[in-house]
This record gives sequence, C-alpha cells and structure tokens, in this order.
Amino acid sequence: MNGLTANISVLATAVTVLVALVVLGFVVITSRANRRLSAQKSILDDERTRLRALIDNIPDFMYVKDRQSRFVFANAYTAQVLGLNSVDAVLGKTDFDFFPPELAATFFADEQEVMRSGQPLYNREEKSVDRAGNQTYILTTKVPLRDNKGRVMGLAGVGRDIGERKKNEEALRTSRQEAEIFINAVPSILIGVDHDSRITRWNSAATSAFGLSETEILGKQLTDCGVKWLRPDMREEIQSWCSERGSRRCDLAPFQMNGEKRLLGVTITAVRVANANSTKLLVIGSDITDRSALEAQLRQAQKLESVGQLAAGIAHEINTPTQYIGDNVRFLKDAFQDLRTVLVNYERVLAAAKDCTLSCEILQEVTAAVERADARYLLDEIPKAIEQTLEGVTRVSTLVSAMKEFSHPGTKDKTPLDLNHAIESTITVARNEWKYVSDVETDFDMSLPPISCQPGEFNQVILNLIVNAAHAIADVAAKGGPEKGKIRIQTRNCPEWVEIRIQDSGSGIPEKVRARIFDPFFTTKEIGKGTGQGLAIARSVVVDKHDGTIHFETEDGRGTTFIIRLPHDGKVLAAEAAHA
Amino acid sequence: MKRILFVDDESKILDGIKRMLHADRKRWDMQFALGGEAALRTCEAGSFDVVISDMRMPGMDGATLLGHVRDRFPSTARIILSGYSEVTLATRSVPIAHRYLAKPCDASELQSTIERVCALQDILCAPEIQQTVGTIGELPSLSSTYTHLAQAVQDPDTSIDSVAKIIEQDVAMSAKVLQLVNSAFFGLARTITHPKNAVAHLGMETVKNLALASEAFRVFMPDSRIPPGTCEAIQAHAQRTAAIASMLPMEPKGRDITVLAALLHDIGRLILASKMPDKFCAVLSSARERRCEPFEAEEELMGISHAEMGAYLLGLWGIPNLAVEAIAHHHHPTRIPHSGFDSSIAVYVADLLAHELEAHPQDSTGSELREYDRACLETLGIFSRFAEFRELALQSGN
Repeated sequence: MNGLTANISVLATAVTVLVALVVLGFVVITSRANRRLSAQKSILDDERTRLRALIDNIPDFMYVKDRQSRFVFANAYTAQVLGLNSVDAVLGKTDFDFFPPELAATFFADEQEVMRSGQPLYNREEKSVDRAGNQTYILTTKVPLRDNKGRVMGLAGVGRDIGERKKNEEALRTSRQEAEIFINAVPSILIGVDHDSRITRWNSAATSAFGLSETEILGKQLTDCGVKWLRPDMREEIQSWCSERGSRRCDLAPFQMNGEKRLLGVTITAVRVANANSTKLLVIGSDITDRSALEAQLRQAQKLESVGQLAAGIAHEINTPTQYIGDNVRFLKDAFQDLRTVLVNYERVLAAAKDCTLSCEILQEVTAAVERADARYLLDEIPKAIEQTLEGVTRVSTLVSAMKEFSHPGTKDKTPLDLNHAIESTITVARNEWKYVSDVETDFDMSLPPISCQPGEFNQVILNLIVNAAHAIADVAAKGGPEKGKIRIQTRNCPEWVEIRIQDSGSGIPEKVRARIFDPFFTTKEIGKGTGQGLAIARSVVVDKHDGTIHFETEDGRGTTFIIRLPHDGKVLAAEAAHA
Repeated sequence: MKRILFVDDESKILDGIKRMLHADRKRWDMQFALGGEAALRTCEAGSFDVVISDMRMPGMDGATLLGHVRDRFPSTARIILSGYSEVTLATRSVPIAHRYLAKPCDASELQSTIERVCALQDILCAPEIQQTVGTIGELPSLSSTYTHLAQAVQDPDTSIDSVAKIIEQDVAMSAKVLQLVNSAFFGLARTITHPKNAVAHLGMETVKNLALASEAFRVFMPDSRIPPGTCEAIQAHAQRTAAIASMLPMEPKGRDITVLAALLHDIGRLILASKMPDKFCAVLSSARERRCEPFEAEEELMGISHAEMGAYLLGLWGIPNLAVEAIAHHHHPTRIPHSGFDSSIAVYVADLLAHELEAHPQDSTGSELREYDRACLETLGIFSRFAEFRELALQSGN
C-alpha cells in the first residue's frame, strides 16, 4: 500500500515535470518560433513527439487546466475515459461537462483551492464515477502551474483509477473479518502458537475457558501465559508439542479456573506457513471436564451392565441344579410311597409266614404289588437321586459363596487378598459366560503372597478378561472353528511382583487394533454386545489404582494372553510399554 | 403312545426328569438326548410328538435345534425348558417354540404342558379336520401388509413410527385396528385416532394382534347365501367376548393372548360362512330344529366344530400356540388340564357370558345355564365364581 502510494507520488512528480516541459515547449515554440533555428526546432519536435507518445500511452489521467478549470491539455487515456474520440475534443471543456454536478463541483472546489493557495494536492482518494455510472475511486494529484513570473496560471493533474484495488482491499478486509468471526464463533478453543511458542491467536472460546483475554495473552509464551496448569510436567509437555511434526492428541491437561479443577483435551497440529513469524502450531481443544464426568458414569454403567448380565447367568446357574434337585426330591417322595407299599406287602408276607397262613394267592398279590412299584428300579435310582440332589445343593451353595466373595460388599479400601481364591470365585461366578464355549483350566502358584487390593475392583478386572476370552473363543466357534476352546489362568510369584496370565484359544487380536484395545469405548464387538469399556477399566484398575501393569501377547489364529503384574506390597513397578 | 424327547446339556437334568416322570412311562415313550446334535440324530431315527429342549447348550443350542425340528418335523410340538427368565426367552424364541417353561419347573406343570400340546396336536391332526379343510381348497393367505408388520414387530430395532407407518399404508387395516382399539375391551379414556397413538398406547404386539384380527375379518367374505347381518353379528360377538375376557381375573402376562384368542375364537364360523356356505346354512337350521348350539350341530354334521377349524387356520397363520389352544377348546374346556385361570378358561367363560348378554341384554340375573356348561364350570372348579364373572361382564358393556 505504502509502496504503491510512493510510486504514484514519484509518477505524479515525473508527470508534472513532463507536463510542465510540454507546456513550456508550447509557450517557447509559439512565442519564439521565428527566432529558432530549424535545427533546434527539429530537436524540439523530436522531443515533443516522444513525450507525447509517452503521455498518450500511459494508463493514467494526465491533464492541464487553466485558472477556470478548463482543460487546456489532456492525454489520450483521459479523453478515452471521458468518452471522447480525440484529445482535442476535451479542450475547453470542464468537469461539469462529464460528471454529475455535485461531483464536478467538488473537483472544481479542490482545483480552485490548489490554484488559490498554490499548494499541491498529493494522492487524494476521490470518489468518482466511470462512464457506466459505477462508483469508483481515483487517486489524484493536482499541482499548480506557474508562469515564468511565478503566477499560478493553471494546474497539472494526474490521476489513477483505483476502483479495482479498493474493491480487492474491501474483499480482503471482509474475509479477514469473517475469518475472525468464525474463529471466535467456534466453540472449541483455538490457540495459534509461533515457532517461539509465543501465542499468536487466542479465540473467544479460549478466553472464556481460561478467563484470559486475547490482549493480555498475545505474544506471551504458552507455558507462562497465566493459565494455571496443574500438571507438574506441563512445561515439558508443551515443549514437546512445539518440537513435533504432524498432529497429536493430549487428553489430560488439567488446569485451574476459578479455584476449580478443569480438564482440557487438545489436538496439536503443526501448520506449515511461508512466513516464519506467523503461527506454527494450532492447538485445538475443549474443556472436557463434563465429558470426563460422563465417562466415569459410563464406567459405572458398564460395571452395572456386566453385573446385570452376570445376574442373568447366575440365575441360570442356580435354576439348573434347582430343577434337578426338585425333580429328584419329587421322585424320592413318589419312591418312598412305592417302597412303603412294597414294605406293607412284605409285612403281609411276614405276618402270614408267622401265622403259617402264607398262601400262593398272597405271594402272587405281593409279587404283583412289588412289580407294580418297580422296586428294583427304585433301589437302583434312589441312591443316585440322593447323590445328585446333594451335589446340586453343593453347587448352589458354592455359587452363592463365590458371589459373596466376588462382590465383596462394603470393601472399598485395599485389603490383603488371596488372589488364587479370588480368581477361583470369579471363575465360578462367571461360569455361565464361558461354559458353553470353553473349558477353564487353572494353574495356580500356591506360594502367592497376599496382595493388597481393592477386591471388588480386582475381581471386576478378572471378570472382564474372562468374559473377553470367552467372547474371543465364541467368535472362533462361530466361524466354524472347534466348538470348545480353552481358557487357561495361571498365577506366578516373581521376585518383585505377582503375575496373572489369562490365556484364550481365540483368534488373536488383529494387528491394526492392537494399539487401541485399552482405549475407552474401543470395541470390536457388535453393537449392544459391549460398551468398549472392559479393557479400559482393567487398565485403569491395574495401572492407576494398583500401580501394576497390564499387557498382552497375541498371535493371529492362536489366541491372546493378558498378563497382569501387581507389585508385592510396598513396591512400585516401573511403567512399561502397554503392549508387547 | 406319545413319543417325547427331552434335550439338555446337563445329564443330571435329564436324570432328574427321567426319575420324576417315571410314573408316566406307561403312557409316554420318553427319550433323552444330551445336547442338540444328539437330539437331532435321535429325531432322525424316529420322529417325536413333542421335543422339550434346554435353550443354551454348547454346540447346537436349543433355538437352532428347534428350528431344525420345525423345518423337518413340522407336526412335532416344540417346548423350551430353560433357566433363563421368561422375558429373555419370549423375545428370543417366539417363532421357534410352542411353549416356554422356566426352570425350575415342577412335575405337574411339565406334565400338564405335555398333555395340552398333545391334545391340541390330536385335534389339529384329526382326520375330520383334514377332511373338512381339504374340501375348502386353498386357505386365504395373509396380506403383505400384515406379513410386513409381523416382521417389523419381530425386529428389536423397530420404532413405533415405523410400525405405525406400515399400518397407515393400508387404509382398511388402519380403520379396523382403530375401531378395535376404541372398542370397549381396552377401556381407554380417550378415543385413539391415529395408528401411531394406538401403537404407543397398547404396544406393538397388541396392535399386531389387532391387525391379524382385522385381516381375519376381511379375508372371509360371507357368501351371498348367508343371511344378511350374520357376519356383522359374529364380529360384534367377537368384540364383546374380547371385552369381557379382558375383564376376567387372570394373570396379566396371559392377557394379550386371551384378548387375541377371544377376538378370533369364532373365526371358524367365518370360514364356514365364506367357504362352505351350504354347511353353514345346514348348521343353522339344524341347530334351530334340534334347539342346540351351533357347535353341537357342526359336530353332528362334520365331526368337528368351528372351534377346531379356526384353531387349525390360525395355527397355520402363526398366532401364538396358547391362543390356538384357547380357540380350539373354547367349547370343550375340560378336554385339557388347566393350571389356574388360563386363557382357555377365560375365552370359554367370556364366550358364554357374551352369548348370555346377547340373548338377554336387559337381564342382569342372567338366564339359566345349560346343563352342559354347568358341568364344565363345575369341573373347572369355577362354578361358584360364575356370578362374579357375570357382574364383570355387565360392567364391560358400559
């Protein structure tokens, strides 16, 4: 803009000089023509032709006016724009002949002022209209022309139509404003950061999220801009944003706002820009405090869901033995009646034998009654019925006590837990989830020391892993694999930790999802079969609540083993890669 | 002897049932199969009258097994005996099983269920039925609207809107369904004017049943020889019976089936009126001459009555087996054992009361019961409560 104005000024000056020369040339030629040598005249003629050619071909207005603002000279461009065929046609006319009266009056007033004051008018932006009557802008310079005595005899003017440029500027301004409005209307936090990690952009969502206005924050370092980060390593985190290419997510950026802990989730994107001073990083984020709260509720819901599913399974597990206990007891009741009849009959035989009245008739009757009662069958079946009834009762009571172990009502605190026993109970409780697709094999290390655990949480993890294993095996069976798979659960005592391995004979975890299986809501199960929270919860319980590690080994077509390590009391395991 | 197959993956269940039903060994030939595959092999070796299967089994589960049985041995009655709650069962196995029993299930319930499915099977397979239905030729099939509707209701993801839209497409069906919805037996406080509200108020299953009733009333157009007004009277009676049945004191879970059965209990008469008009007229005059009930005249003439014919057709149309049973026995409720006040009894009683109301609309004391019905009510053990039922029936008309 400045450069352009400067150009125009230089141009204007040059043109003024040129015009002056031409005018002078006129004057000189008319007044002293006779006294000039023909040689000199031809030089001047050459000069004039060249100047005229220049003036006529310049795409700017050039004109000279007399004291009454009448055109005494105009270049071809001026004539053309004014709608005239020849330069001569312009001469003697005024602006009133070409422009609407108000406009012409303004021009006239300006020119009269220039000539009265003798002060030139440089680069004035004037509203004007083109031939079609459309509004346009002219960048005008008007300088007074003086005769050799220094009296103002008119003015020389030069002008450029800048309508197009003005339009472009206007469009640029509008689009900048629009961009600004958009950026501020976006409900996400948008922060631009330059290569020095100085803030270059700060939208209104950022202002309301952090309570810091754009003006107080622009140019400051993102690390020290006044946001109260609650993560001790936040500085390193932000620096790592600046050093990375591509985009990445950071979901755990807690900060304090009005004394309240809030959570920020951001995506950091490196932006390639030509100008080194402008934005290099775009930080897009939102306050995810409420979302995190919802997620926590959802976890609770998943727990309830799995408990609900478990309840249906447990009901089934109880109903089955109840059915055959009932059937057997009912049989025993009938059998007792039949046996009583048999006994009564035998008593008859006994009595008759004592009285020596035993007849063939009695014997036949008794024999028939004993056959009717099917006594042989009863004698075979009664012991089995009793045995199965007792077995059924044991099954129900085992299940009931396992349920009690599993749910551990009321214990939220860590207590020393016999992990083998806890796992055994969970296997029993979850029996209905695996028994149709798989056998469960346990290999427990009996030297396992008690581990300080939240029993309910620990059992939930084991349950989730067993249910997952059963689902993995069921998928294989559904695809025509062997009908029954195997789940193997192993415990080992290691020097620093105890290890629990839960191995299934499923199809393994596909390569492309391995990195995501611990993510919340990630699931490969069909809709309605899982919330995708099971492994996320397992990870959170093992890693966050028990300072342990969880990872897995998997092989396509062979199955997956989840490995949980829990530290012996008082030890902390170094964080490991989440997966192998 | 009826052949019955029990299937479970738990051998102790089979042992228990075997022992429990030891006393029935003389009347039933009972076989036991451990698991779905074994059961199917046993079926192939010799067909069964009844298959009673567990639901969840490793390998072939109960639903799959009963699906095979349905396709390959359609006349075999299929019963599920499962440890899962009835709600889960009902939603998962509607088209596959005739009955659902929940574990633990006691001997008498198991026995009476077997007896009842066998009784219904005997009736529907009776030579008289085959003979009579054979003379009718092809039975009318259900409209595509109804088929579409039934499929949609089956789908757990169906919305109220989509069900309502299916009904709306069929103007005749919408009109009939709305008429039934607004009739006395739902006792709704306000008039329902749109299928969507009907679905929202009564549920998809009920509206589907109403749509089926409207289908039944539509496909059997009476022949020109039938006295005018007969079919209208049959329809009016059907609605009155449904209204009374809905008032009777029965378990809520059986209510839908009962209302459906009550609404359709005389479909057999419509079949006669449209497909065998000569027989229909002969029955009417015979009943007049002999001063007996039409069903008795029918039995005299054809060996069976409209009750069995209607049940047979509705069985083919796939309405719930319990409704088929209630319709089949609605003139002979004592043919089967009962556990409590079930749909069969309710339809019988409601039909009786509806006829009584039609004969003596003003008389609140009711007419003298026929000796036959008195005996039935006594056998069912509800004779003493009949006056109470009559009171309820009178209320239903208001």
